[in-house]
Amino acid sequence: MKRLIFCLVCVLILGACKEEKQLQLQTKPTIKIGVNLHLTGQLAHTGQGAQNAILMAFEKWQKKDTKYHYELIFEDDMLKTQQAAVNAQKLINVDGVRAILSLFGLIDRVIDDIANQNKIISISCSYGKAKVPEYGINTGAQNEEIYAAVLAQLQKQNVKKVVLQGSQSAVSFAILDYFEKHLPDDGIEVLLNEKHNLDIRDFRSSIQKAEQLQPDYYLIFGVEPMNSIFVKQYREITGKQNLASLGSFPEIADALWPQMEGLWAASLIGGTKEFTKEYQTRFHDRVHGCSANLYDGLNMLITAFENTPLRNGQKIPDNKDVIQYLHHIGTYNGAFGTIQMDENGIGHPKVEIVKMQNGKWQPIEE
Amino acid sequence: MLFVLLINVLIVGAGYGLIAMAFALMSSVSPFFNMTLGSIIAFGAYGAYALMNMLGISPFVAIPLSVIFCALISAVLEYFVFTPLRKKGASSMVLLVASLGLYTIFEAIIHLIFGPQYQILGSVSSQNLNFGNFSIPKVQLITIFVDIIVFGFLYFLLTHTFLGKLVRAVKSNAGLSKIIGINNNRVILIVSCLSGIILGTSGVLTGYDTGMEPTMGFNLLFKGIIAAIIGGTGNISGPFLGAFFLSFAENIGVMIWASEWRDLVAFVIFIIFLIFRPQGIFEKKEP
Repeated sequence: MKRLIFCLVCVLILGACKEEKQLQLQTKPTIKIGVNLHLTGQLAHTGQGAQNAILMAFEKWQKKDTKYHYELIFEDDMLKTQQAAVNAQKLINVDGVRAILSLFGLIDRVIDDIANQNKIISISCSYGKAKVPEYGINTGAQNEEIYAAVLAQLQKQNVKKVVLQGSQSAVSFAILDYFEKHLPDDGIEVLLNEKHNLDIRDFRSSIQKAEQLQPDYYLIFGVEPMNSIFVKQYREITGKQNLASLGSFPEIADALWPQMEGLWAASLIGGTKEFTKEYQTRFHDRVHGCSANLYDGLNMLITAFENTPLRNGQKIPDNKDVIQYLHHIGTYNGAFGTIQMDENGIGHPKVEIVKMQNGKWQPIEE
Repeated sequence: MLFVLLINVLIVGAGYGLIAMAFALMSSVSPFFNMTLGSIIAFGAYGAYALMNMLGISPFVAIPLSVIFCALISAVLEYFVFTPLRKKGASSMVLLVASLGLYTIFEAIIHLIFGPQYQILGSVSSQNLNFGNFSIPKVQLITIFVDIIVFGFLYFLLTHTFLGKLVRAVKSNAGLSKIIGINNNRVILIVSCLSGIILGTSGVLTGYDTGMEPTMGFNLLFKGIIAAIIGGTGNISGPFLGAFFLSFAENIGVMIWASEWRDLVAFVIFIIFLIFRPQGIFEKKEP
């Protein structure tokens, strides 16, 4: 009987503690954060990777004693700009979010515009996006930085003629066209700049057409599965190693890694060793493009909300003050490594060159 | 250069050919755009992947099991979904919408189980056979070989066997074949098993050659359908040769213009055939 009473008292105490915690949560002002990703469709792997990373960051914040109660609301844009616009309107007008995180593929630009009109913070991960509106920040790498890192490698190998290959996607166009425009100024001829449709599985004729031009090197930036299939077919046809990626190699299927020994890439995908290890242990999957960037994006955002001072009578800081905080965050050490945020909201992550050595992507030692 | 182009045409055409023949076979007895055929391709690839990579079963056991699984799924769909719908007098449009719904469900199931990321089967695909300074992966040679074997088998089946006669009877006039005592539903069921086997095999070969992702079935099926329409679905030679014709047109398009025009070339040819020669290249116009 005594044991029973003891157990009952314990249960009551535990219940009371839980209620108190819930009461604490209720008394804290809630900040809703929208997350718009491609969770289904052709690039679902990128969206799901980003979702995993965002949830990983969010769970860590939930364990901390924060000033505000945060809530995440996920939406799937299916890689369609129209759907992204609908999602943004719903997140802003129905859910009342204070910020939206989004991925590349023109979708980020749609979200940026709608969010900016409503003075909602927009955090994106888009490669080669050099401009964001007043309420935006971009955590993806810039063309200039990718170009500088890749050019140094090409010059080191005395490359004079290249072929560019990519996908019919906004991100591919942005990067490959930048390279096509600037490489001739640095003495490297661009023989071909070809973008393949997203559903193409056969690149043999393209590779053989390019081989007729006798390039010194192939530079590719495509979205999966283009990279994997292209690399595989390139190696099967030519057996050569003169192929490098402008960012997306580490996303390639593990089964193909043995065929990639010796190939190098600008490391836009992935993150720090600690982040990669934690992510892979938890999700048993490789890290996808923008996962680490949006992990950092959420952390920056919550840090900004937590640290932005309140004006008179405010329960939650004003978005104008929060975005000011974000624009002046300066050097940020996060999951993607060191990101230098400029005051226009543009992130400048360090782009390093990685090489497949002994079955692993490793930084090239200078 | 021409030799290389022809090899590419053969490799791609063989891949399209398997799907085109399965589609033509199925649509000869059940004439509607059955989108679940795309799911069967994905099931073939992911079935083998699950058995080999997740359960560690040898490819020599896993591949036949996966192909049998595809045949079973194809038969189950026919028996429990399309036959009852047909009995209720459902139009081709209703059957198409039902198949599209099922395709979406199957894609989501694959997505949930295996994730959205790109995968590739085994390492056989990396083994090449060398012909002088030209090399070709074994899996691509196997695909061409399987395409020819399947064509030969289907040609023999449809022209020299009793089952072939039944299939041709159902295709020619389903109402009349029923009156003379043919069990149309049973014929359709057998044909769906056969097309399941061909599509499952195609899925496994695609998984080895160009890998797989949950959305793979739709695009592959679409190219197969275009190839079947170009060649004509009246006899099995049509889709077999139509696939090589489509592959040739696409590869020439890539060589002359650019890769982004590849699908445009395919669809322009598709539209031209639909308007000017809907019966396909290799079939005579009905009087």
